[in-house]
Amino acid sequence: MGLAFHLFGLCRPKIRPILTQQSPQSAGRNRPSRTLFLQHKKIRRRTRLPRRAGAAFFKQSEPSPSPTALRKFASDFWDQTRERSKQTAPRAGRRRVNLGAQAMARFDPYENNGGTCVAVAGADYCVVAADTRLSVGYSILSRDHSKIAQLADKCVLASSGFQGDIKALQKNLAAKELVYEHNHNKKMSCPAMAQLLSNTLYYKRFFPYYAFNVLGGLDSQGKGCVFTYDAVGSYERTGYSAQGTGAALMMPVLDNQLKSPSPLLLPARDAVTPLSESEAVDLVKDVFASATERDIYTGDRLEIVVINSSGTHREYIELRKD
Amino acid sequence: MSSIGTGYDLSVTTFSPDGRVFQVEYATKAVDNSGTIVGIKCKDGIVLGVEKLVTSKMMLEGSNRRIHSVHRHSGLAVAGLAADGRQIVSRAKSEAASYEKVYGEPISVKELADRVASYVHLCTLYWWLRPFGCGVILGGYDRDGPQLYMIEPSGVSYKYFGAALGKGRQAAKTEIEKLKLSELTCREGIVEVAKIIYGVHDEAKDKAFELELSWICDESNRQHQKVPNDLLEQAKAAAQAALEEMDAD
Amino acid sequence: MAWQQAMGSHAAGGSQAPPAAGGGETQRTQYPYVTGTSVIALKYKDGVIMACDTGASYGSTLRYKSVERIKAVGKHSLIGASGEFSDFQEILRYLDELTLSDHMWDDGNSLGPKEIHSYLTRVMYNRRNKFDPLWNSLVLGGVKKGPKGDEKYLGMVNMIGTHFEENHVATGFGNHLAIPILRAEWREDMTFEEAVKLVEKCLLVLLYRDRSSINKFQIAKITTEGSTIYPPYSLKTYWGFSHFENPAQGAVGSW
Repeated sequence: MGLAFHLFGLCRPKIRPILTQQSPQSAGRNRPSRTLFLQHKKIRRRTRLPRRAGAAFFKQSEPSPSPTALRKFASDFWDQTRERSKQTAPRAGRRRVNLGAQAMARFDPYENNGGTCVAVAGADYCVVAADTRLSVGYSILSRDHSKIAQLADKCVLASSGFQGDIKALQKNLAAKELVYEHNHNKKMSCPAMAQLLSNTLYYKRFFPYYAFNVLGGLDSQGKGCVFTYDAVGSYERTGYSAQGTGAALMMPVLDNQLKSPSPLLLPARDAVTPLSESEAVDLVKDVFASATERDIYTGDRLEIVVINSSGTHREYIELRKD
Repeated sequence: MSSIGTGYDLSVTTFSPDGRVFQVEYATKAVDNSGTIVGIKCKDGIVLGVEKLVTSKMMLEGSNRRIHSVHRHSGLAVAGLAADGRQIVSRAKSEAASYEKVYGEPISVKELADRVASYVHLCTLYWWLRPFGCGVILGGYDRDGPQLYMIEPSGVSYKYFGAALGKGRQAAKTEIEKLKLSELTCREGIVEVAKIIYGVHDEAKDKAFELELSWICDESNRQHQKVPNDLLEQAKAAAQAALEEMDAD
Repeated sequence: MAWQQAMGSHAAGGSQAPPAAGGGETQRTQYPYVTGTSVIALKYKDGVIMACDTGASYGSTLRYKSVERIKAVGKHSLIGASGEFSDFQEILRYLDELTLSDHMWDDGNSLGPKEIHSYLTRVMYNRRNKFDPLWNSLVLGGVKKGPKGDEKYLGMVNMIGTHFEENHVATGFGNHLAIPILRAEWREDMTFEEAVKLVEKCLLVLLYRDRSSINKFQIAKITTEGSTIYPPYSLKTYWGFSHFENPAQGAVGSW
């Protein structure tokens, strides 16, 4: 192995042990035949492998790699490359994979459209709010896109994450609520919807809805309730919660202002906040105005839904647009 | 009914000794008892008309249609069992759609008629199938201009200038023959068809009926469509007037 | 629906896509081949105006120079597409099937832009769920008489199913270069002439800065009267800007 090989990167010892079982010294011995070489070329074209990686693989699986093995190699290779490129910022719908000179777009089924959702429950009300900005990367797609769905008369869902999944999820829940209504001759309660949402998310555990949900409403006693979720369905009933890109900025403020009793206390205390309805709405406006200052995915407009015994009430305030 | 009791009329796969398939003939009877349908080829297009017998006063006007679009450029009128007709319509639709998907251009009327006829004929070849109790008149417009086909329960399909099926077919055919189809426009044609349908309607036997009219011509953008309401009403009025004039004589 | 049937045969390794050699696996779109660049559209006084160039690129090769990337859908809508051109043609086939079945009902109702857009979002999202995306960004605009008078509609959907409504939209490069112009200058009550001027301004910026854009454009409009797709034409360009002649001027530290 001459110095030239290392200089031109034709045979990097660092890579070889990973891709082949063969030592560099034995490389010349079992030279592939002409036909096999052609086959290797063809396959490389079909599976779009970089020249070097394909060649190394080809030498490894002599006399002739089976098509299935090749495919497996191609897919493993992509998986590895993908892992390596995880650090690069995701772009709309595709991810650029850098392979030396060759750069290629690959399909990515997710994108994060950003946004923040908040819900605060009180003794006889619940406030659910979300901003209306829809972004991807550094672009704003829309300044007036609602993330909130009214699923039943006392049950409102706000979701941030991938808009396509969010809409699919919200439509799915609305449809199931309608079937429930027909079967049971009543609207679904908020805790029932909370369980349903968890099941719906968990059902897609291995190809999840990229949606971060906050569900707010009134329970069967008329008390405010908030349920907060992760993308695969684990959930908790709380007195207040924030989800989405601005959650990390808002949650500490909510913790500080709402002074929820410690969940460690026994017997368990009520999680609802001591604020009055209008105080809660003002707090929500403030935390959004604050998060908008620092989170580029939050802004434009705030949609607030207040649920209380007299029904639901919707209001909007403007947020920073930059 | 010499066939009854001989056993040769029980299956569509058995010929009678004199070479007839009685099941197909019975199917034809179902068509002959139905409300009259008429189709004419005018110089600029096709007009289809149906005497839709209304069996109940509570039936919604415009429901249970007997004229269907099967593609942009062709329509189909059904005489006989309406439910059987829907099977033919749905087959015609999928044949037309699949042709366009494969060849990128709309199916010709001849090809469509042939394919639908094959389908109808298919049901006369197997013991586990019942022939369709309906006949259809298929009208369409393609690069060769307007064309009219009639397909019967036996699966035969012929091209016509004017065709009629159902109770009043004989009288209707006589009336169609009197028309100068090569000079008639579709606008005039719809009035003539309306007159024929009103003329052959037997008020003694069937009380109420609804006139369904559709056309394919330049005025409808060479697309198969219901005749616009104002023209339909005009045609009805003209037919009514002609009928009263005839009664007065 | 056709796209569902197409999917069915994928799952079964049927005739839609030939099974890969050896296994029963099927090929799915991993990257686009022939692509169209930006589409821009905006609402104006009487309806919606849409515009794009007529090019389609194979990588960096300008493979087709005269293709229509804006089409009419039914009576009330226009669709514009950027991205994989073959996928767009497949989408047009789905839409043709949809509007045909709509036509055959002959019941006086017809699908409006809202319905078509909703249909497209479901098609795009379902295909991404099967990891077999249609590699496009689609713009759908239209006008239809509603209970509250004429309702203008303009929406977008991308290859993974993200969708939204807006007063003005632009795909691809247009999202970066045209949207800022539209945000600054768009008004609800623009006349058609004003809208054309604004659209041409955007197209010109794209022509200067998007290398896959070409100087052959098509403008289309949709109003209650129906849709009009105008024949292609060119814009007058001026390449004498000092920054075009000496791009490094004032850029400290560059060559």
